[in-house]
Amino acid sequence: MAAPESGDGNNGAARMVTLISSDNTRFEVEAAAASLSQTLQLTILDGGGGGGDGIPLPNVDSATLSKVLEYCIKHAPAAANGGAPNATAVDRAELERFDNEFVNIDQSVLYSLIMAAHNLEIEGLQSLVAKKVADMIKGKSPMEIRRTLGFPDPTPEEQAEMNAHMLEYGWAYE
Amino acid sequence: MDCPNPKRSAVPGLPDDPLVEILTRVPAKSICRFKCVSKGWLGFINDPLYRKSLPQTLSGFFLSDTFTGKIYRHFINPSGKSVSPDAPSFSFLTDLHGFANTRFLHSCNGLFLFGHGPDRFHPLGYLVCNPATEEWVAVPRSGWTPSQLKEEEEEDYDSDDNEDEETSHTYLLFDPAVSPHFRLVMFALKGGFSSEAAVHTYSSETGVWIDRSGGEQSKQRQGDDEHQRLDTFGAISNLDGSAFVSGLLHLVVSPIHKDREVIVAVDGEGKTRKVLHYPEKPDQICTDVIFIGQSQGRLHCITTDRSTENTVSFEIMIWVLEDYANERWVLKHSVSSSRLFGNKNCFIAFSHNVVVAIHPDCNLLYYFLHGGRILVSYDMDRDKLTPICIVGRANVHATPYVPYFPESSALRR
Repeated sequence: MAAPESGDGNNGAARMVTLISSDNTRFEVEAAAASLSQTLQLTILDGGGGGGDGIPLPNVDSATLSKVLEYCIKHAPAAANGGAPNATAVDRAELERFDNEFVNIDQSVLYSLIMAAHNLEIEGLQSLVAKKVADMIKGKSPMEIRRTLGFPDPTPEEQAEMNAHMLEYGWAYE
Repeated sequence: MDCPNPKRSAVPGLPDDPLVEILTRVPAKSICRFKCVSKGWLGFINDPLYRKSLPQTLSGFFLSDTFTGKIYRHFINPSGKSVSPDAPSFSFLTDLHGFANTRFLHSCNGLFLFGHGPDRFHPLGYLVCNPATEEWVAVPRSGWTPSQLKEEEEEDYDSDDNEDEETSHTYLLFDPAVSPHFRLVMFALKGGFSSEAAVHTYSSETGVWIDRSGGEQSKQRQGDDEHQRLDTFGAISNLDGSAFVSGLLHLVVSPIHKDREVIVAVDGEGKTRKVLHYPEKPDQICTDVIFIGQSQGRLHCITTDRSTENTVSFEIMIWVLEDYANERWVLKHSVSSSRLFGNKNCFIAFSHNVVVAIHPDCNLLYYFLHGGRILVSYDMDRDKLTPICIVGRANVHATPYVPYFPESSALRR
Protein backbone atom coordinates (compact mmCIF):
# COMPACT_ATOMS: atom_id res chain seq x y z
CA MET A 1 0.00 0.00 0.00
CA ALA A 2 1.31 3.47 -0.86
CA ALA A 3 2.22 5.48 2.19
CA PRO A 4 -0.33 8.28 2.56
CA GLU A 5 0.43 11.73 3.92
CA SER A 6 0.70 11.06 7.62
CA GLY A 7 -0.08 14.66 8.49
CA ASP A 8 2.34 14.68 11.41
CA GLY A 9 4.85 16.91 9.67
CA ASN A 10 7.27 14.26 8.40
CA ASN A 11 7.06 15.54 4.84
CA GLY A 12 5.48 12.68 3.00
CA ALA A 13 7.08 9.60 4.48
CA ALA A 14 4.74 8.11 7.08
CA ARG A 15 6.20 7.87 10.53
CA MET A 16 7.05 4.31 11.49
CA VAL A 17 7.18 2.70 14.94
CA THR A 18 8.54 -0.62 16.09
CA LEU A 19 6.59 -3.04 18.28
CA ILE A 20 8.28 -5.96 19.98
CA SER A 21 6.28 -9.11 20.73
CA SER A 22 6.69 -11.26 23.85
CA ASP A 23 8.90 -13.66 21.87
CA ASN A 24 11.10 -10.78 20.74
CA THR A 25 9.99 -10.41 17.15
CA ARG A 26 10.15 -6.83 15.89
CA PHE A 27 7.30 -5.40 13.80
CA GLU A 28 7.68 -2.09 12.01
CA VAL A 29 4.36 -0.41 11.25
CA GLU A 30 3.02 3.04 10.48
CA ALA A 31 2.37 5.05 13.61
CA ALA A 32 -1.17 5.72 12.38
CA ALA A 33 -1.93 1.97 12.38
CA ALA A 34 -0.37 1.29 15.78
CA SER A 35 -2.27 4.28 17.20
CA LEU A 36 -5.56 2.43 16.83
CA SER A 37 -4.41 0.98 20.16
CA GLN A 38 -5.42 3.37 22.94
CA THR A 39 -2.67 1.81 25.05
CA LEU A 40 0.03 2.64 22.49
CA GLN A 41 -1.36 5.95 21.34
CA LEU A 42 0.08 8.06 24.17
CA THR A 43 3.54 6.49 23.90
CA ILE A 44 3.53 7.11 20.17
CA LEU A 45 2.33 10.70 20.59
CA ASP A 46 5.21 11.23 23.02
CA GLY A 47 7.55 10.17 20.23
CA GLY A 48 8.19 6.66 21.53
CA GLY A 49 8.68 3.52 19.47
CA GLY A 50 10.79 5.13 16.79
CA GLY A 51 14.31 4.31 15.69
CA GLY A 52 16.00 1.41 17.40
CA ASP A 53 13.94 1.66 20.61
CA GLY A 54 10.69 -0.16 19.88
CA ILE A 55 7.79 -0.67 22.26
CA PRO A 56 7.85 -4.00 24.08
CA LEU A 57 4.52 -5.83 24.33
CA PRO A 58 5.15 -8.59 26.87
CA ASN A 59 1.52 -9.82 26.74
CA VAL A 60 1.29 -10.42 22.99
CA ASP A 61 3.09 -13.15 21.08
CA SER A 62 4.29 -12.68 17.50
CA ALA A 63 1.55 -14.76 15.84
CA THR A 64 -1.16 -12.74 17.59
CA LEU A 65 0.60 -9.42 17.06
CA SER A 66 0.94 -9.99 13.33
CA LYS A 67 -2.79 -10.72 13.18
CA VAL A 68 -3.59 -7.60 15.24
CA LEU A 69 -1.44 -5.45 12.98
CA GLU A 70 -3.12 -6.86 9.89
CA TYR A 71 -6.37 -5.48 11.32
CA CYS A 72 -4.84 -2.12 12.28
CA ILE A 73 -3.21 -1.54 8.88
CA LYS A 74 -6.48 -2.27 7.10
CA HIS A 75 -8.53 -0.04 9.39
CA ALA A 76 -6.05 2.85 9.83
CA PRO A 77 -7.06 4.86 6.72
CA ALA A 78 -10.76 4.78 7.64
CA ALA A 79 -9.96 5.64 11.28
CA ALA A 80 -7.82 8.59 10.11
CA ASN A 81 -10.88 9.91 8.29
CA GLY A 82 -12.69 10.09 11.61
CA GLY A 83 -14.74 6.93 11.15
CA ALA A 84 -14.77 7.59 7.40
CA PRO A 85 -17.89 9.70 6.97
CA ASN A 86 -16.93 10.25 3.34
CA ALA A 87 -16.00 6.64 2.68
CA THR A 88 -17.73 5.17 -0.31
CA ALA A 89 -20.09 2.24 -0.01
CA VAL A 90 -17.45 0.18 -1.81
CA ASP A 91 -14.87 1.03 0.86
CA ARG A 92 -17.26 0.09 3.63
CA ALA A 93 -18.24 -3.13 1.93
CA GLU A 94 -14.57 -3.97 1.49
CA LEU A 95 -13.88 -3.38 5.21
CA GLU A 96 -16.87 -5.51 6.12
CA ARG A 97 -15.67 -8.31 3.85
CA PHE A 98 -12.21 -8.04 5.42
CA ASP A 99 -13.68 -8.17 8.95
CA ASN A 100 -15.75 -11.25 8.20
CA GLU A 101 -12.73 -13.04 6.74
CA PHE A 102 -10.53 -11.82 9.55
CA VAL A 103 -12.47 -13.48 12.37
CA ASN A 104 -13.03 -16.67 10.43
CA ILE A 105 -10.30 -18.33 12.48
CA ASP A 106 -9.53 -21.03 14.96
CA GLN A 107 -11.01 -20.69 18.43
CA SER A 108 -7.60 -20.51 20.12
CA VAL A 109 -6.48 -17.68 17.83
CA LEU A 110 -9.76 -15.90 18.52
CA TYR A 111 -9.12 -16.19 22.25
CA SER A 112 -5.62 -14.70 21.88
CA LEU A 113 -7.13 -11.88 19.82
CA ILE A 114 -9.70 -11.12 22.55
CA MET A 115 -6.90 -10.78 25.07
CA ALA A 116 -4.69 -8.71 22.77
CA ALA A 117 -7.53 -6.37 21.71
CA HIS A 118 -8.38 -5.95 25.38
CA ASN A 119 -4.82 -5.30 26.54
CA LEU A 120 -4.04 -2.97 23.65
CA GLU A 121 -7.48 -1.34 23.86
CA ILE A 122 -8.28 -1.47 20.16
CA GLU A 123 -11.96 -0.59 20.20
CA GLY A 124 -12.95 -1.78 16.73
CA LEU A 125 -11.17 -5.08 17.15
CA GLN A 126 -12.72 -5.60 20.59
CA SER A 127 -16.21 -5.20 19.09
CA LEU A 128 -15.37 -7.39 16.13
CA VAL A 129 -14.12 -10.35 18.15
CA ALA A 130 -16.86 -9.93 20.77
CA LYS A 131 -19.49 -10.07 18.05
CA LYS A 132 -17.88 -13.14 16.54
CA VAL A 133 -17.80 -14.97 19.89
CA ALA A 134 -21.37 -13.85 20.65
CA ASP A 135 -22.53 -15.33 17.34
CA MET A 136 -20.68 -18.54 18.15
CA ILE A 137 -22.14 -19.01 21.62
CA LYS A 138 -25.63 -17.51 21.46
CA GLY A 139 -27.26 -20.77 20.35
CA LYS A 140 -25.27 -23.00 22.66
CA SER A 141 -26.62 -24.87 25.66
CA PRO A 142 -25.03 -24.42 29.08
CA MET A 143 -23.41 -27.85 28.76
CA GLU A 144 -21.90 -26.95 25.40
CA ILE A 145 -20.49 -23.74 26.88
CA ARG A 146 -18.97 -25.72 29.73
CA ARG A 147 -17.33 -28.12 27.30
CA THR A 148 -16.07 -25.30 25.08
CA LEU A 149 -14.49 -23.60 28.07
CA GLY A 150 -13.05 -26.84 29.36
CA PHE A 151 -15.04 -26.81 32.62
CA PRO A 152 -15.12 -30.13 34.47
CA ASP A 153 -18.33 -32.16 34.21
CA PRO A 154 -21.02 -30.75 36.50
CA THR A 155 -21.42 -32.26 39.95
CA PRO A 156 -24.73 -34.06 40.59
CA GLU A 157 -25.87 -30.97 42.49
CA GLU A 158 -24.99 -28.67 39.58
CA GLN A 159 -26.65 -31.05 37.16
CA ALA A 160 -29.85 -30.98 39.23
CA GLU A 161 -29.79 -27.16 39.19
CA MET A 162 -29.31 -27.17 35.44
CA ASN A 163 -32.25 -29.51 34.95
CA ALA A 164 -34.49 -27.40 37.19
CA HIS A 165 -33.50 -24.26 35.28
CA MET A 166 -34.26 -25.97 31.99
CA LEU A 167 -37.70 -26.97 33.23
CA GLU A 168 -38.45 -23.47 34.44
CA TYR A 169 -37.10 -21.59 31.45
CA GLY A 170 -37.92 -24.10 28.73
CA TRP A 171 -38.56 -21.26 26.30
CA ALA A 172 -34.93 -20.17 26.48
CA TYR A 173 -33.70 -23.58 25.36
CA GLU A 174 -35.17 -23.68 21.87
CA MET B 1 -5.85 -3.02 33.22
CA ASP B 2 -7.92 -5.70 34.91
CA CYS B 3 -6.40 -8.20 37.18
CA PRO B 4 -9.00 -10.95 37.12
CA ASN B 5 -9.72 -12.57 40.42
CA PRO B 6 -9.50 -16.24 39.58
CA LYS B 7 -12.02 -17.13 42.27
CA ARG B 8 -14.91 -15.24 40.75
CA SER B 9 -13.80 -15.11 37.14
CA ALA B 10 -16.57 -16.57 34.97
CA VAL B 11 -14.20 -17.82 32.30
CA PRO B 12 -10.78 -18.93 33.51
CA GLY B 13 -8.12 -16.52 32.34
CA LEU B 14 -10.54 -14.10 30.71
CA PRO B 15 -10.98 -10.69 32.33
CA ASP B 16 -14.55 -9.51 32.93
CA ASP B 17 -14.55 -6.67 30.40
CA PRO B 18 -14.24 -8.79 27.25
CA LEU B 19 -16.88 -11.16 28.61
CA VAL B 20 -19.28 -8.23 29.10
CA GLU B 21 -18.50 -7.14 25.53
CA ILE B 22 -19.46 -10.61 24.33
CA LEU B 23 -22.57 -11.07 26.47
CA THR B 24 -24.02 -7.66 25.55
CA ARG B 25 -24.17 -9.00 21.99
CA VAL B 26 -26.22 -12.13 22.65
CA PRO B 27 -30.03 -12.11 22.92
CA ALA B 28 -31.83 -12.03 26.29
CA LYS B 29 -32.85 -15.63 25.64
CA SER B 30 -29.21 -16.78 25.64
CA ILE B 31 -28.44 -14.74 28.78
CA CYS B 32 -31.30 -16.49 30.55
CA ARG B 33 -29.89 -19.88 29.53
CA PHE B 34 -26.30 -18.99 30.40
CA LYS B 35 -27.25 -18.34 34.02
CA CYS B 36 -26.86 -22.02 34.69
CA VAL B 37 -23.52 -22.57 32.95
CA SER B 38 -21.84 -22.27 36.35
CA LYS B 39 -22.04 -20.39 39.63
CA GLY B 40 -19.46 -18.00 38.21
CA TRP B 41 -21.63 -17.18 35.20
CA LEU B 42 -24.73 -16.74 37.36
CA GLY B 43 -22.87 -14.35 39.65
CA PHE B 44 -21.48 -12.52 36.65
CA ILE B 45 -24.85 -12.11 34.91
CA ASN B 46 -26.54 -10.93 38.13
CA ASP B 47 -23.67 -8.63 39.15
CA PRO B 48 -25.09 -5.10 39.57
CA LEU B 49 -22.05 -3.74 37.75
CA TYR B 50 -22.56 -5.86 34.64
CA ARG B 51 -26.28 -6.44 34.43
CA LYS B 52 -26.69 -2.80 33.34
CA SER B 53 -25.11 -3.71 30.04
CA LEU B 54 -26.78 -7.08 29.51
CA PRO B 55 -30.10 -7.62 27.74
CA GLN B 56 -32.92 -8.34 30.17
CA THR B 57 -36.07 -10.37 29.86
CA LEU B 58 -39.43 -10.60 31.63
CA SER B 59 -38.80 -10.73 35.36
CA GLY B 60 -42.45 -10.79 36.44
CA PHE B 61 -45.67 -8.84 36.80
CA PHE B 62 -46.80 -5.93 38.94
CA LEU B 63 -50.46 -5.98 39.91
CA SER B 64 -52.80 -3.03 40.16
CA ASP B 65 -56.51 -2.43 40.50
CA THR B 66 -58.14 -2.10 37.07
CA PHE B 67 -60.38 0.77 38.14
CA THR B 68 -58.47 2.77 40.69
CA GLY B 69 -54.94 2.07 39.46
CA LYS B 70 -53.81 1.33 43.03
CA ILE B 71 -50.66 -0.77 42.87
CA TYR B 72 -50.59 -3.95 44.99
CA ARG B 73 -47.55 -5.00 46.96
CA HIS B 74 -47.50 -8.44 45.42
CA PHE B 75 -45.00 -9.08 42.64
CA ILE B 76 -45.53 -12.18 40.51
CA ASN B 77 -42.60 -14.22 39.33
CA PRO B 78 -43.23 -15.70 35.84
CA SER B 79 -42.38 -19.17 37.08
CA GLY B 80 -44.92 -18.86 39.90
CA LYS B 81 -42.23 -19.53 42.47
CA SER B 82 -42.36 -17.64 45.72
CA VAL B 83 -40.90 -14.20 45.44
CA SER B 84 -37.59 -13.41 47.07
CA PRO B 85 -37.37 -10.52 49.55
CA ASP B 86 -35.39 -8.47 47.04
CA ALA B 87 -38.18 -8.66 44.44
CA PRO B 88 -38.81 -5.36 42.72
CA SER B 89 -41.32 -3.14 44.45
CA PHE B 90 -42.42 0.46 44.69
CA SER B 91 -41.72 0.63 48.41
CA PHE B 92 -39.12 3.33 47.74
CA LEU B 93 -42.02 5.60 46.83
CA THR B 94 -44.23 4.96 49.84
CA ASP B 95 -42.57 7.65 51.92
CA LEU B 96 -43.49 10.27 49.39
CA HIS B 97 -46.13 12.72 50.44
CA GLY B 98 -49.44 11.77 48.84
CA PHE B 99 -48.33 8.34 47.63
CA ALA B 100 -51.64 6.91 48.80
CA ASN B 101 -53.33 8.72 45.90
CA THR B 102 -50.81 7.51 43.33
CA ARG B 103 -52.31 5.50 40.50
CA PHE B 104 -50.62 3.30 37.94
CA LEU B 105 -51.12 4.57 34.39
CA HIS B 106 -48.63 2.96 32.03
CA SER B 107 -45.16 1.46 31.70
CA CYS B 108 -42.57 1.24 28.97
CA ASN B 109 -39.21 -0.54 28.84
CA GLY B 110 -38.76 -0.74 32.62
CA LEU B 111 -40.04 2.73 33.54
CA PHE B 112 -43.43 3.26 35.22
CA LEU B 113 -45.82 6.17 34.98
CA PHE B 114 -48.06 7.06 37.90
CA GLY B 115 -50.60 9.81 38.19
CA HIS B 116 -51.78 11.32 41.44
CA GLY B 117 -55.21 12.74 41.89
CA PRO B 118 -58.81 11.75 42.50
CA ASP B 119 -58.84 9.03 39.83
CA ARG B 120 -56.82 7.61 36.93
CA PHE B 121 -58.32 9.91 34.34
CA HIS B 122 -57.83 13.35 35.88
CA PRO B 123 -54.28 13.40 37.25
CA LEU B 124 -53.07 16.49 39.06
CA GLY B 125 -49.48 15.53 38.40
CA TYR B 126 -47.29 12.59 37.47
CA LEU B 127 -44.43 10.49 38.73
CA VAL B 128 -42.08 8.52 36.48
CA CYS B 129 -39.91 5.96 38.22
CA ASN B 130 -37.67 2.98 37.73
CA PRO B 131 -38.13 0.16 40.29
CA ALA B 132 -34.75 -1.34 39.31
CA THR B 133 -32.73 1.73 40.29
CA GLU B 134 -35.34 3.25 42.65
CA GLU B 135 -34.97 6.56 40.84
CA TRP B 136 -37.97 8.76 40.24
CA VAL B 137 -38.90 12.17 38.98
CA ALA B 138 -42.05 14.27 39.34
CA VAL B 139 -43.74 15.63 36.23
CA PRO B 140 -46.24 18.50 36.53
CA ARG B 141 -49.76 18.17 35.19
CA SER B 142 -50.34 19.09 31.60
CA GLY B 143 -52.04 22.33 30.67
CA TRP B 144 -55.25 20.51 29.82
CA THR B 145 -58.37 21.12 31.92
CA PRO B 146 -61.52 19.11 31.34
CA SER B 147 -64.19 21.42 29.97
CA GLN B 148 -66.72 20.20 32.56
CA LEU B 149 -64.42 21.72 35.18
CA LYS B 150 -64.30 24.95 33.26
CA GLU B 151 -68.09 24.95 33.15
CA GLU B 152 -68.22 24.10 36.82
CA GLU B 153 -66.42 27.30 37.59
CA GLU B 154 -68.94 29.27 35.61
CA GLU B 155 -72.20 27.62 36.56
CA ASP B 156 -73.43 24.71 38.61
CA TYR B 157 -72.18 21.57 36.97
CA ASP B 158 -74.44 18.53 36.93
CA SER B 159 -72.05 15.81 37.95
CA ASP B 160 -74.51 13.01 37.23
CA ASP B 161 -74.37 13.69 33.54
CA ASN B 162 -71.32 11.74 32.40
CA GLU B 163 -72.28 11.61 28.76
CA ASP B 164 -69.81 14.33 27.85
CA GLU B 165 -67.28 13.69 30.56
CA GLU B 166 -63.75 14.23 29.38
CA THR B 167 -61.03 11.88 30.49
CA SER B 168 -57.30 11.88 29.92
CA HIS B 169 -55.21 8.86 28.99
CA THR B 170 -51.49 9.32 29.47
CA TYR B 171 -48.83 7.04 28.01
CA LEU B 172 -45.12 6.74 28.65
CA LEU B 173 -42.66 6.38 25.79
CA PHE B 174 -39.10 5.37 26.62
CA ASP B 175 -36.59 3.93 24.20
CA PRO B 176 -33.16 3.76 25.86
CA ALA B 177 -31.57 2.58 22.62
CA VAL B 178 -32.43 5.96 21.11
CA SER B 179 -32.46 8.45 23.98
CA PRO B 180 -32.05 8.46 27.76
CA HIS B 181 -35.10 10.74 27.91
CA PHE B 182 -38.71 9.72 28.18
CA ARG B 183 -41.83 11.31 26.78
CA LEU B 184 -45.41 11.43 27.92
CA VAL B 185 -48.32 11.61 25.50
CA MET B 186 -51.67 12.59 26.95
CA PHE B 187 -54.86 12.21 24.98
CA ALA B 188 -57.92 13.91 26.36
CA LEU B 189 -61.07 12.22 25.12
CA LYS B 190 -64.69 13.20 25.33
CA GLY B 191 -67.10 10.68 26.76
CA GLY B 192 -69.28 8.35 24.77
CA PHE B 193 -68.16 7.93 21.19
CA SER B 194 -67.01 11.43 20.72
CA SER B 195 -63.62 12.34 19.44
CA GLU B 196 -60.40 13.48 20.96
CA ALA B 197 -60.49 16.77 22.82
CA ALA B 198 -56.78 17.50 23.14
CA VAL B 199 -53.27 16.08 22.82
CA HIS B 200 -50.46 17.25 25.07
CA THR B 201 -46.93 15.89 25.14
CA TYR B 202 -44.11 16.16 27.63
CA SER B 203 -40.40 15.57 27.14
CA SER B 204 -38.06 14.96 30.08
CA GLU B 205 -35.36 16.64 28.01
CA THR B 206 -37.09 20.02 27.87
CA GLY B 207 -39.18 19.54 31.02
CA VAL B 208 -42.24 21.19 29.49
CA TRP B 209 -45.66 20.15 28.24
CA ILE B 210 -46.65 21.21 24.74
CA ASP B 211 -50.21 21.43 23.48
CA ARG B 212 -50.27 19.46 20.24
CA SER B 213 -54.00 19.68 19.75
CA GLY B 214 -54.74 20.41 16.15
CA GLY B 215 -57.29 23.04 15.22
CA GLU B 216 -60.34 22.42 13.09
CA GLN B 217 -58.07 22.08 10.10
CA SER B 218 -56.51 18.86 11.27
CA LYS B 219 -59.91 17.43 12.07
CA GLN B 220 -60.98 17.84 8.50
CA ARG B 221 -57.93 16.13 7.15
CA GLN B 222 -58.68 12.51 6.64
CA GLY B 223 -57.50 9.74 4.39
CA ASP B 224 -54.05 8.21 4.31
CA ASP B 225 -52.04 11.28 5.26
CA GLU B 226 -49.29 9.98 7.54
CA HIS B 227 -49.69 12.98 9.81
CA GLN B 228 -53.27 12.20 10.61
CA ARG B 229 -54.22 12.87 14.16
CA LEU B 230 -55.87 10.48 16.50
CA ASP B 231 -58.76 12.94 16.67
CA THR B 232 -60.06 11.83 13.32
CA PHE B 233 -60.61 8.43 14.84
CA GLY B 234 -62.12 8.34 18.25
CA ALA B 235 -61.91 6.46 21.50
CA ILE B 236 -58.88 4.54 22.70
CA SER B 237 -59.66 1.00 23.85
CA ASN B 238 -57.62 1.28 27.00
CA LEU B 239 -58.07 -2.30 28.08
CA ASP B 240 -56.75 -3.98 24.94
CA GLY B 241 -53.14 -3.28 25.76
CA SER B 242 -50.62 -1.07 24.10
CA ALA B 243 -47.36 -1.90 22.44
CA PHE B 244 -44.12 -0.01 21.98
CA VAL B 245 -42.59 -1.18 18.69
CA SER B 246 -40.17 0.60 16.34
CA GLY B 247 -40.13 3.65 18.60
CA LEU B 248 -43.88 4.15 18.28
CA LEU B 249 -46.70 3.62 20.74
CA HIS B 250 -49.45 1.41 19.34
CA LEU B 251 -53.01 1.69 20.60
CA VAL B 252 -56.31 0.12 19.63
CA VAL B 253 -58.68 2.87 18.60
CA SER B 254 -62.40 2.72 17.79
CA PRO B 255 -62.94 5.04 14.88
CA ILE B 256 -66.01 7.22 14.75
CA HIS B 257 -66.55 7.03 11.04
CA LYS B 258 -65.76 3.37 10.54
CA ASP B 259 -67.31 0.27 11.99
CA ARG B 260 -64.08 -1.52 12.81
CA GLU B 261 -61.24 -0.84 15.18
CA VAL B 262 -57.78 0.08 13.95
CA ILE B 263 -54.31 0.07 15.48
CA VAL B 264 -52.82 3.54 15.56
CA ALA B 265 -49.08 4.17 15.91
CA VAL B 266 -48.25 7.42 17.68
CA ASP B 267 -44.86 9.11 18.13
CA GLY B 268 -43.50 11.11 21.07
CA GLU B 269 -45.03 14.27 19.64
CA GLY B 270 -48.50 12.79 19.71
CA LYS B 271 -48.60 12.52 15.95
CA THR B 272 -50.25 9.53 14.31
CA ARG B 273 -47.58 7.99 12.13
CA LYS B 274 -49.33 4.90 10.90
CA VAL B 275 -52.79 3.38 10.94
CA LEU B 276 -52.78 -0.40 10.83
CA HIS B 277 -55.76 -2.54 10.03
CA TYR B 278 -55.94 -5.54 12.24
CA PRO B 279 -55.43 -8.95 10.67
CA GLU B 280 -58.23 -11.23 9.52
CA LYS B 281 -58.64 -14.52 7.75
CA PRO B 282 -60.15 -14.11 4.27
CA ASP B 283 -63.42 -15.80 5.22
CA GLN B 284 -63.74 -14.10 8.59
CA ILE B 285 -66.95 -12.19 9.17
CA CYS B 286 -66.78 -10.67 12.62
CA THR B 287 -63.40 -9.98 14.14
CA ASP B 288 -62.67 -8.55 17.55
CA VAL B 289 -59.27 -7.28 18.68
CA ILE B 290 -58.57 -8.63 22.13
CA PHE B 291 -55.01 -7.57 22.73
CA ILE B 292 -51.96 -5.97 21.19
CA GLY B 293 -48.46 -6.35 22.54
CA GLN B 294 -44.81 -6.59 21.64
CA SER B 295 -42.79 -9.80 21.48
CA GLN B 296 -39.43 -10.53 19.89
CA GLY B 297 -39.34 -6.98 18.55
CA ARG B 298 -42.57 -7.32 16.60
CA LEU B 299 -46.12 -6.14 17.04
CA HIS B 300 -48.52 -8.92 17.98
CA CYS B 301 -52.28 -8.82 17.79
CA ILE B 302 -54.74 -11.29 19.26
CA THR B 303 -58.15 -11.50 17.62
CA THR B 304 -61.22 -13.66 17.91
CA ASP B 305 -63.81 -14.64 15.37
CA ARG B 306 -67.09 -13.59 16.96
CA SER B 307 -69.23 -14.95 14.17
CA THR B 308 -69.21 -18.32 15.91
CA GLU B 309 -70.01 -17.00 19.36
CA ASN B 310 -73.11 -19.12 19.66
CA THR B 311 -71.15 -22.32 19.63
CA VAL B 312 -69.37 -23.67 22.64
CA SER B 313 -65.98 -22.62 21.47
CA PHE B 314 -64.53 -20.03 19.13
CA GLU B 315 -61.18 -19.44 17.56
CA ILE B 316 -58.48 -17.26 19.13
CA MET B 317 -55.81 -16.11 16.69
CA ILE B 318 -52.37 -14.75 17.51
CA TRP B 319 -50.93 -12.69 14.67
CA VAL B 320 -47.50 -11.20 14.21
CA LEU B 321 -46.71 -8.19 12.03
CA GLU B 322 -43.80 -9.72 10.11
CA ASP B 323 -43.36 -6.81 7.75
CA TYR B 324 -44.12 -3.49 9.40
CA ALA B 325 -43.66 -1.22 6.38
CA ASN B 326 -45.89 -3.29 4.12
CA GLU B 327 -48.31 -4.20 6.88
CA ARG B 328 -48.00 -7.94 6.38
CA TRP B 329 -49.59 -9.91 9.22
CA VAL B 330 -48.81 -13.59 9.62
CA LEU B 331 -50.98 -15.96 11.64
CA LYS B 332 -48.60 -17.29 14.25
CA HIS B 333 -50.90 -19.48 16.21
CA SER B 334 -54.52 -20.41 16.51
CA VAL B 335 -56.19 -22.03 19.49
CA SER B 336 -59.77 -22.71 20.54
CA SER B 337 -61.23 -20.78 23.45
CA SER B 338 -62.26 -24.02 25.12
CA ARG B 339 -58.60 -25.10 25.19
CA LEU B 340 -57.64 -21.94 27.08
CA PHE B 341 -60.71 -21.44 29.21
CA GLY B 342 -62.58 -24.69 29.39
CA ASN B 343 -66.03 -25.09 27.94
CA LYS B 344 -68.09 -23.02 30.32
CA ASN B 345 -68.72 -19.36 29.73
CA CYS B 346 -65.71 -19.07 27.55
CA PHE B 347 -67.22 -16.26 25.55
CA ILE B 348 -67.76 -14.17 28.63
CA ALA B 349 -64.40 -15.18 30.00
CA PHE B 350 -62.44 -14.13 26.96
CA SER B 351 -63.29 -10.50 26.90
CA HIS B 352 -61.10 -7.47 27.25
CA ASN B 353 -58.39 -7.20 29.88
CA VAL B 354 -57.98 -10.96 30.04
CA VAL B 355 -54.72 -11.27 28.12
CA VAL B 356 -51.91 -9.91 30.24
CA ALA B 357 -48.90 -10.16 27.95
CA ILE B 358 -46.99 -12.04 25.34
CA HIS B 359 -43.55 -12.91 26.64
CA PRO B 360 -41.08 -10.42 25.11
CA ASP B 361 -38.67 -13.18 24.08
CA CYS B 362 -40.75 -16.25 23.31
CA ASN B 363 -44.14 -17.57 22.29
CA LEU B 364 -45.72 -17.64 25.73
CA LEU B 365 -49.07 -16.03 26.33
CA TYR B 366 -50.07 -14.90 29.83
CA TYR B 367 -53.77 -14.53 30.62
CA PHE B 368 -56.25 -14.50 33.47
CA LEU B 369 -58.79 -17.18 34.25
CA HIS B 370 -61.92 -16.61 36.32
CA GLY B 371 -62.08 -12.85 36.05
CA GLY B 372 -58.49 -12.26 37.05
CA ARG B 373 -58.22 -14.67 39.94
CA ILE B 374 -55.73 -17.08 38.36
CA LEU B 375 -52.79 -16.20 36.13
CA VAL B 376 -51.99 -18.85 33.53
CA SER B 377 -49.36 -19.17 30.82
CA TYR B 378 -49.95 -20.81 27.48
CA ASP B 379 -47.00 -22.08 25.47
CA MET B 380 -47.95 -21.71 21.80
CA ASP B 381 -45.13 -23.95 20.58
CA ARG B 382 -45.99 -26.87 22.84
CA ASP B 383 -49.71 -26.23 23.32
CA LYS B 384 -49.08 -26.38 27.05
CA LEU B 385 -50.96 -24.62 29.87
CA THR B 386 -49.22 -23.78 33.14
CA PRO B 387 -50.92 -22.12 36.11
CA ILE B 388 -48.65 -19.36 37.42
CA CYS B 389 -50.37 -18.18 40.55
CA ILE B 390 -53.64 -17.56 42.29
CA VAL B 391 -54.18 -13.83 42.53
CA GLY B 392 -57.38 -14.17 44.50
CA ARG B 393 -58.83 -10.79 43.61
CA ALA B 394 -61.03 -9.66 40.78
CA ASN B 395 -60.45 -6.64 38.55
CA VAL B 396 -56.72 -6.96 38.60
CA HIS B 397 -54.47 -5.52 35.97
CA ALA B 398 -51.08 -7.20 35.57
CA THR B 399 -48.21 -5.25 34.03
CA PRO B 400 -45.29 -7.23 32.62
CA TYR B 401 -41.95 -6.01 33.90
CA VAL B 402 -38.57 -6.15 32.15
CA PRO B 403 -36.07 -4.35 34.36
CA TYR B 404 -33.91 -1.51 33.10
CA PHE B 405 -30.80 -1.37 35.29
CA PRO B 406 -28.76 1.60 34.04
CA GLU B 407 -29.18 4.80 36.00
CA SER B 408 -30.90 7.53 34.08
CA SER B 409 -30.22 11.26 34.01
CA ALA B 410 -33.88 11.76 33.09
CA LEU B 411 -34.93 10.49 36.53
CA ARG B 412 -32.75 12.82 38.59
CA ARG B 413 -34.84 15.03 40.74
